[in-house]
Amino acid sequence: MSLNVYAMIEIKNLTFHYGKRKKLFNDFSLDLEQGSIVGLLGKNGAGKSTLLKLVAGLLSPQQGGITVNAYKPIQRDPNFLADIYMIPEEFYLPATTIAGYLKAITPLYPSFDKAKLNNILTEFELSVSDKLNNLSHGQRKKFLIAFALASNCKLLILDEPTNGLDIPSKSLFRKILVSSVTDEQLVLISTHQVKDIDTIIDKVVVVENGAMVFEENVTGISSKYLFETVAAPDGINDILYQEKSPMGYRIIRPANGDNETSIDLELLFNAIIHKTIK
Amino acid sequence: MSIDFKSTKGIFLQIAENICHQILEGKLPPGERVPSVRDLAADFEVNRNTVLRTYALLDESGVFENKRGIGFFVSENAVEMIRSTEKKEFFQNDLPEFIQKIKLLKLNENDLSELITVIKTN
Amino acid sequence: MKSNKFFSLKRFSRFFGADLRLNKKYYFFCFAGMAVGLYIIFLLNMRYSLSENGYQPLFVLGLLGLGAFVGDAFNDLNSKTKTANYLLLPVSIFEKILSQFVIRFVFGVGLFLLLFWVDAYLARETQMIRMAGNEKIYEIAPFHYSLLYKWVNDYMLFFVMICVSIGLFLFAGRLFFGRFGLIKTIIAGFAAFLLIVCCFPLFSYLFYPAETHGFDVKLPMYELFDDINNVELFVYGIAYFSWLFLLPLAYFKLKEKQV
Repeated sequence: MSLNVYAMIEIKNLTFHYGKRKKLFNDFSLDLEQGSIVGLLGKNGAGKSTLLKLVAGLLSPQQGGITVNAYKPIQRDPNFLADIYMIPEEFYLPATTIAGYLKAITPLYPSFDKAKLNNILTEFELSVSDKLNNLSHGQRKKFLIAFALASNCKLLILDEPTNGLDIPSKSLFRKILVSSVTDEQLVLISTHQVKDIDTIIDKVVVVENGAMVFEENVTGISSKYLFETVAAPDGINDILYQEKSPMGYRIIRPANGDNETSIDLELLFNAIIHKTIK
Repeated sequence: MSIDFKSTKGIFLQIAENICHQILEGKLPPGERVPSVRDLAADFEVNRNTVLRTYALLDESGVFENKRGIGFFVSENAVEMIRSTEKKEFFQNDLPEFIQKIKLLKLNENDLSELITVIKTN
Repeated sequence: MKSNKFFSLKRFSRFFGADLRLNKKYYFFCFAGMAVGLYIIFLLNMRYSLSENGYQPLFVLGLLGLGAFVGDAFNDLNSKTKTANYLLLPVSIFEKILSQFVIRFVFGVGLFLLLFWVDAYLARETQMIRMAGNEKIYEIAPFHYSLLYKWVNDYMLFFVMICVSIGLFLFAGRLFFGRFGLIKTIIAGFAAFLLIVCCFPLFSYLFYPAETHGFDVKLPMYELFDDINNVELFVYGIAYFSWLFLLPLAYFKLKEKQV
């Protein structure tokens, strides 16, 4: 199956703006393959949520094409919709029990795996008899994450999935996500809380003012850059970006190929935003 | 299991180190089947490709044995191999640093009596 | 395993089931409210006597209630988060509209007609029992749907079609207006009606300037066919065919909705 890696999401020369205001996306292109977990990073208002909505077919581009699983999202073909699942940042759940909701909605998702759902619900300490309207925001989010992963949809779109989760739940979210995602799936996670997902992603995409300013695989990043802490940056002449930290300075330097450091995604993100790394 | 992600070594190397320690401690005895990539990725909360890199490295260095079609196993001489590489690393990196610190702090026999007893019983 | 992108019976029945299951409380309360409301209205109006024609305003009142239920269709479009959720459900636009149509129109009208008749019967029985000991006999006429025919006789088809057209107008309104759709639809309906009314004096003045004074309306009538004149054709046209334009427009409105 891994032979048949194709771009699940193809965005070509996308132009999008709300109303007549200035363009949010202008000539934006991006290809994303199946079998990966992609972190879509950007500051607030950079256009992350808009991009996700365009991919899910909730918004229509003014120009350019988006193809997802060989469908045009905005046409909302039910076969397309049955194979994507999106958790928006703000979401709606009806006033019913988890069991009632599942009975109603799961028949609409042909690949839904009930056993998987029950496992994840147990890990998240949710019970099918819980009423969705009595759960906290974090618990409702956990339910939706469980639903998304159990849906086995080819494309999962998670907009700020760790917002509202407590620390143990964030850790659980990472565990469950990496163990349940298959090679046929693509998970697109947008977040501004970089630390929550930095170890689980394969690819980093950074958007800024509606343009893609960075796109690189995690292996590519670690072979290109070194992330180090030094007492003082003086005398090191190849620093790409530096930031003061309690231990001295966190710095990024170009890698020389021999050693590899663990990626400090937050530092990298700041470097990209400050345009010292492209 | 936990790793200090703040240390500068690549995550896949940290995981490799962790597995090697498990082998040395006997938690993962030679001949035993290695946990699946999926399980280990979940345990460490890291991407599966990261674990794949770790396994490739351990396979390459001979700590793991790839039985075709079945998966990875801890090789029979894994413990000796790990010990010898760790020893090498110890003499190369840790010991010089250690000696320098002893010189710096002017530590004597009495200060390090605990260390000496450990050496004698080893 | 792809299914037809416009309609698949399996997918539709699953979605229809989901709609009923998730909104069962709401639908139940709508119909329970209708049943109790009608019963109370009947009781109040039958305290002494009720002639056959006395049912007329009650039926109109009932129709207004039914109109509110029909006009509350697509309440998944009440908020942005609900709309996003609704649009992402893996069902075709046609199936989404059909599901609401069946619930609001088919079930709504069917249950209304049944409840109206049952309540009228029950209320009458209740009042008869209450007044059983009274010396003076009060007359409460029983209700039959044949009364409807008595009231409108020759215009039965026209009456039904006007009701259907108004119903569809209310039904589709939500798709055009989103939040507070029913109220906006009603306002838009009145505005459209007023506009037509205003057109009469305007056109009278434009086309018959010599014969028109102030806001007078000059409306010449002439026979078009054997039985029909131009004014009738105009009114019938709106009653019979407006939905032909409205429903496809509503379909595309939902299809092109963005959040």
